[in-house]
Amino acid sequence: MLTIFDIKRFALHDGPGLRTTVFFKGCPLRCLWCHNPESYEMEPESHNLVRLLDGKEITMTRKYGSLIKEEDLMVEILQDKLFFEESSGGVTFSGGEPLMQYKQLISMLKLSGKNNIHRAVDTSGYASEKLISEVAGHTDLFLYDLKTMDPEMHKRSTGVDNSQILKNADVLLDMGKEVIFRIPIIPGINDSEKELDAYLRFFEKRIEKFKEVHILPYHKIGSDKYSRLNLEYPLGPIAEPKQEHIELIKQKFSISGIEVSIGG
Amino acid sequence: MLTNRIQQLRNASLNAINTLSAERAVLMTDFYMSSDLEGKSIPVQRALSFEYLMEKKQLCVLDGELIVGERGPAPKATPTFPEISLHSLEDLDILDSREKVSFKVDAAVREVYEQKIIPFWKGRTNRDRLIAGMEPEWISAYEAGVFTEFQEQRAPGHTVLGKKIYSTGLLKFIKEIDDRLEGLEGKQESGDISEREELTAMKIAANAIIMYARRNAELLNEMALKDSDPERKMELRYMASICYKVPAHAPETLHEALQYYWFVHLGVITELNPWDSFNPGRLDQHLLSFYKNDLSEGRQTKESAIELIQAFWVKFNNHPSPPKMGVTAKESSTYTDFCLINLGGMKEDGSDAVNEMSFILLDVIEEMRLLQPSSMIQVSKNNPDSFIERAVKIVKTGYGQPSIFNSDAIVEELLNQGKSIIDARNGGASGCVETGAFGTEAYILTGYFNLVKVLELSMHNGVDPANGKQIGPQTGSFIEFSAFEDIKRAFTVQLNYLLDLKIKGNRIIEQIYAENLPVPFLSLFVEDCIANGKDYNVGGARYNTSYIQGVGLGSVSDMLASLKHHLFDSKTMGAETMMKILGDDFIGHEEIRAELIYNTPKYGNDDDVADEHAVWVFNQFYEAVNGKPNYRGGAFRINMLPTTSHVYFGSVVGATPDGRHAGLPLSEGISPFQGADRKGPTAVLNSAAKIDHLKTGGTLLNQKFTPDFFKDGKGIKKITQLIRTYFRMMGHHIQFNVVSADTLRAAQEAPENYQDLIVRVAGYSDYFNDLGEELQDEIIRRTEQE
Ligand code: SF4
Repeated sequence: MLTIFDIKRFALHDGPGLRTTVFFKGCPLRCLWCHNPESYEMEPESHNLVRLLDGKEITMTRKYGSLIKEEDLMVEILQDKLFFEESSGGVTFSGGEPLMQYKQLISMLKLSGKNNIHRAVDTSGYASEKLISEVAGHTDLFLYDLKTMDPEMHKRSTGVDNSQILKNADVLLDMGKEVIFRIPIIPGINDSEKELDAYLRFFEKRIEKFKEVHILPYHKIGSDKYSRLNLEYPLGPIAEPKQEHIELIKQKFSISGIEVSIGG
Repeated sequence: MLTNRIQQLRNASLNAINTLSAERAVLMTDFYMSSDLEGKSIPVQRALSFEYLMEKKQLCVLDGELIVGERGPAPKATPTFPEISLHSLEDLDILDSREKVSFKVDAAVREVYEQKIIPFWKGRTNRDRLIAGMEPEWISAYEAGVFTEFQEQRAPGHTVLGKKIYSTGLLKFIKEIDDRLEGLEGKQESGDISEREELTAMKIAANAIIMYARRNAELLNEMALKDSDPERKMELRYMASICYKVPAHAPETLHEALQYYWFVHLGVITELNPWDSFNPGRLDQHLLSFYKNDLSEGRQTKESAIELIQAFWVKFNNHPSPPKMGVTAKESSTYTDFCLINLGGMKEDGSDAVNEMSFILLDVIEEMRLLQPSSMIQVSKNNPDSFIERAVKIVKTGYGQPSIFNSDAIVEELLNQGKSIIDARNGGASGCVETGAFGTEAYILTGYFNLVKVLELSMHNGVDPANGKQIGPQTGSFIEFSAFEDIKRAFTVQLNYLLDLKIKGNRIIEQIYAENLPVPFLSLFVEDCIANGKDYNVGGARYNTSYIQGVGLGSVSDMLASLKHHLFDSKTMGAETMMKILGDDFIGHEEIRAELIYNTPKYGNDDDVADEHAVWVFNQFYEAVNGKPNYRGGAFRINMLPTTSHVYFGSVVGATPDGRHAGLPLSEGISPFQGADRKGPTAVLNSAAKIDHLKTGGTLLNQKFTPDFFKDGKGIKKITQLIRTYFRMMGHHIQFNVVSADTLRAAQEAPENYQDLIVRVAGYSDYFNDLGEELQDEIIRRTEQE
């Protein structure tokens, strides 16, 4: 049994081809800009939802999260198998943080492998070295978040230290795993010159071992959910990054052989 | 870039206002009043009337035109067909003044209608015969909105031309007819409609169009004499020489091929008003060799060929579909006359048919952006991705064309109906999505069939709740049904009864057309009418199909799923409560309505619990129709498409258990009910593929996308992969609607109808409904900019 909070089919931003993304519930981080606050706690939860119908506001309950058996989840993933085949797509396990339910994650990865489905894991990398290498044994692709390079800022804006995260990135690269680094660009947090230089140095050192970087510009699309869940939006009102700035960042990271895309 | 000439022609077409032309009606009346028809057979009479029209009708050549011939005296001057149905003065007034798609009727037209046309045709139209031929049960079901009847004001049509004209001139056709007639010499003939008469009629019609072409040639020469521009002078002379040559002789150049087709097109839509006008079908296949020869012999450059094709394109747009009488105008709110150009697909040997001309025509479609002709691409496993991607790039510009079809499915469907593999591979789709063997089949659409009304009748013991009239048999009181099976049983009985009524009616209607309105001109071009010595409307074609189009599959499926879930499985309410809230149209029961919409299984989410009902209804419908003999020696078949009838059909159905308000539109084609799909396009396609498309002659699936999805190469690739997968599951057709800012605004007003709208922002996608208002507004602004 595992807890998930959503299954998104026809996912377009979580790896190659047409994919189904499974969102695991529960996350040890608390990123200020998180756009999946319903993923924080592992327990399923219910919230009131007001819907407009015939000009009236109708309150209904909406469930966030459900317990599901591994086999049943596999059945749902397999429903789009033909689409995966036709597009070289597959399944992506995301969250929350999928490594939090690593036993279940590993059995999902094994099951998917048995069914010849391409497997991606979208992770913050916040886990022990042993655990992440075990998961890596059954994973074809990592979407690996690098939220900020500055240890202080990382601690402040996500609640956890980034030293293990950076170490784990090397563990995966040294295992020869395919890794796509994903950087959310959050104004005021990780978009300074100094910060971008730090990213660049990190990439340059590992240039032989990976090919792709995704830049995910901060979007206030996530802020709506907070009000729906009656949560305070921790980041407060900030502006979305400017298109030109994003383009500059893209150019900066486009060093020999690295493919940089905006939005995944 | 469009040339000046094309811009001018295109503007002239777009700016021309629809007018009602009495020319054809007057000529037809004159013909029947003045001619001595004693002892002449009906086919010969019809052929002579056609000859009369082609001889007398006013010619029209517009400035800069390269392809000549108009149905009426001017673009969008639309004739009427009083021998089929007669407009009353009141109808004319409505047409003149109504807001949507009006047809201007001037005083002279009104007068000639009053003085001449109405007095002559009153009580003598085919519609009068047809209505008189129907049983009272048929009439009540028709009036209740259970089905519509296509042939009531339009002739049987829906035929697509094959390749014969591109290699054969009409003089050869005539020779063929003469040979057949000679063979008949001395032989006794049986039956009331004789082969000799049919063939003689065809010959008269063939000569009539040659004469009409010659009239055009003469006019062009006259114009050349008068024209002061030396270039246009030459052009007009050249066009005259073409009209002297085709359609009498086989075409040898692109220009001749296009002009030949156009004469045939005009002939068909002047002879009668066949449903969905007429259609050249696989145009890229037909034109390629002419184009290549022109290039290699220096007659055309790529640019001049494109201009010529564009001049041809405009001609279609000049011909709106003939307006109906007021009574039934509400059944259909569209006046485009569905001509659907087919591109791509496969050759006779099954190999990839995509060629240079396919891409040229896609360019033409993109540049012209006209409503007519409409266009589609046929995609088989063997066609390259580049072809689909090119088409998707046009789709993203948001004007709904081209639609995308599965050639492999089309061929299988035709084979299932007993066509030869060669005829199947020469086939395609016409109208909206209808499968046919081009050039060899008379596949006649008989009308839409309201599956939702059938379930409503099943819930009311056969009575129409709108007016208390008994329409169907008594199948039991709904509140006494003790199991879900009882509902299904009632539905099956109602369905079979009502379909039998429709089928019986259509057999009679086919006979009425066969006996009274043969079409010798159209028959010339559909194999094997000449060889069989039999008219198209009598069953002369190699294949003769009659289609009934099922409407409301998604809705009826959701209704059944809701009844099963709420009344029998979860027992959230009793049958009486259900009837009460439906009777109240949910007023005062908004919370229950929310449950019906948001917490009830729905077709389109790849959930068997809901989808099994769609499959069940589909199979019942198929069993009740497929293979039943029609009058013309062929069989009835089904397809699943609504055009705009889901709106009319919705207007005659009360509130339904899926949460739909009374009077609102039903689901469209095999698409889920508006907004009922919440799991994205792959789930919709999986649901839609659960029914067996190969048992049909076409299904229609519409998918909404916001423009963001098509933004970059990656997005277009993903759409292509989506199409490929659906077609691998043997889906028949998919059309992408790129939603506009207006749709998004409508979604803000009535979110329950737009649950399926996904918006894509770089790096994120989310349901539009789940966004806050501020963000929604922002997305609307962005969509508007694109
Ligand atoms: S790691 Fe992801 S899910 Fe967890 S808090 Fe950060 S953004 Fe949210």
